[in-house]
Amino acid sequence: MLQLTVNGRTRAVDVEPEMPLLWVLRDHLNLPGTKYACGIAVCGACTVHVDGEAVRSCSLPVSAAVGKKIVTIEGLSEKGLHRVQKAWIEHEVPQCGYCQTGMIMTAVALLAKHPGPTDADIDATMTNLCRCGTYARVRKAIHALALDSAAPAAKNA
Amino acid sequence: MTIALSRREFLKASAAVGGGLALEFRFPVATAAVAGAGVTEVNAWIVIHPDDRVVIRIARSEMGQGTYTALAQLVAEELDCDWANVSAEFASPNEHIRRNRIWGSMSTGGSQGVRSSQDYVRKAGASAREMLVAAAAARWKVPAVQCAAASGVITHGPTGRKLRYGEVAAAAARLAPPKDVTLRDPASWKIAGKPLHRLDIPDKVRGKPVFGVDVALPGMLHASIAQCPVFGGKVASVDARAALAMRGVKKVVREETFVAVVADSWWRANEALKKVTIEWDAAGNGHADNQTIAAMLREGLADTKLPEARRLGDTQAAFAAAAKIVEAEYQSPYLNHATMEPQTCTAWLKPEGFLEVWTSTQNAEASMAAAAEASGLPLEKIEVHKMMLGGGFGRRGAPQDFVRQGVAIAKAMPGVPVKMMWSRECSTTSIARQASRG
Repeated sequence: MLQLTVNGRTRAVDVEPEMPLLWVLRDHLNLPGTKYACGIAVCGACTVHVDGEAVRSCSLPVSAAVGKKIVTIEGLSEKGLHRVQKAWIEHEVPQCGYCQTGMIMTAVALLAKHPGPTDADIDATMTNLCRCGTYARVRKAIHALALDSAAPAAKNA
Repeated sequence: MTIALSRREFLKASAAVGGGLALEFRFPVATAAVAGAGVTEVNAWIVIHPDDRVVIRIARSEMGQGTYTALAQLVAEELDCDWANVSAEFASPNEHIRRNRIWGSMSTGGSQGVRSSQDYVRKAGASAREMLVAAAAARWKVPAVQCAAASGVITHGPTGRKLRYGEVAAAAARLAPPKDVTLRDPASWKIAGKPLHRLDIPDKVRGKPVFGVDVALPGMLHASIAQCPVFGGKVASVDARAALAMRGVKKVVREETFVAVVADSWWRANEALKKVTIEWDAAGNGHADNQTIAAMLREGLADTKLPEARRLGDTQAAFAAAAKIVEAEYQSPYLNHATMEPQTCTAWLKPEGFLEVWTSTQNAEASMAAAAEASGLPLEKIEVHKMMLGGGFGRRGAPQDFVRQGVAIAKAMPGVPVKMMWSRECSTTSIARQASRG
């Protein structure tokens, strides 16, 4: 049995230590919001947070996540929607939406480190693949969020 | 209306499975039962709740193009309800067959979803509105022409009396639909054609289980498959001994064109599949590649005996008279559609001889036909639950190989729901059934 901390809860799972975290989340912990697409950490659809870092869970053995805080799209916000999710709705970012939970998890981690990311920051970090081509709206939503968080400081100045 | 599997049945089945299984009950909303509880189907497209919530049935598929919302907007425009009360659900393909294809085409492709159904879905909205107005007029015992509907409320002009749609929906549903309706001038539209928020996005940003790959049923097993990476290829031999000894593996299914490993989680199925030794019979096509295919096409172009598909003008005379001739050649190789969501099909052959299928399909009727062919069951004994698609690009329309595979696996595991999902490797090497298009 492995003990995992997922979305603030301790969960025990009887799985192989080499099973990728993605499949533990999807098939053993009933958290299907994290998606499988490439299986080789290229596309980012499986992105979750492990101790606050955006991690591609399809290629992370579950044993490497033991003792760490795992957050999935389902646990991103304790009450209601996270502000990044709200921005994604407001700016109508998703098309088919399949890659977007991973996209959102990556954006949340980016904004935590860079509250006002430049286009270069976004390009360097948001390497998730989207087959519908939502990149322009991803950028727009992230910039809008940066402006929102910058606004109170600007008012005080 | 009969829904193949009610929520109650699901919950019962879920409870019966109980303890050992870590999975909680998870059943994505695809087709919801609306019978009883004062909920009224005014017509096939429109369901109205007593509290004025309006559910609009969508016959086409949603793969990111927004049709799920756009069609709802067109219906809601003519119905003239409050958009804030509107939600959508996919129409049931089984019911579609039993009701003589009442929802028209379910095929979704070629940018036709809205343009080829906009007229009849608007008429469905207008027809329902007239029936609601007629029901209110009958209750007031006044002529319907004195009544008007707007934003889900019917008003009797001379007296100012009002009734909400939810109050008259049941009475309206008992009326005969009008023989003809006049559609509104698009210049007066308030809902259709407006940039409203898409109905499917909130669930998608929350990570709700809306896609085909998200289906989870009590006692469900998982399957990963290998298929011949060559056109027309077949399975020649299979050695599955090592795979069968692996943790969680329940069965190895050999079919004519693919091999499936069924296990208690998808990763275990896929790991075991890697240990299955498969020899393929490439059916003589083992050396086909882009060059040989291009050569074959070029040969076809040069063949003067081929039937003529279309002739426009006199090209030879035009070339002969041209001052300048510009020549260019364009080719398109076989390309993978590369949907982000791999092809997937969950199938459950139930003991009573009813087959349930959950899949991401661009054409639910084609999925029904493929399921019928693969199961040998009549269409009436099959339900296809339409899930949201993680991309389509045509891959999920005409080619329904994934449904045939899912159903074949279900036949080998009777009574047990099995979710089949292609690995990315399987998706990328299985271009055999994909069209040459961008």
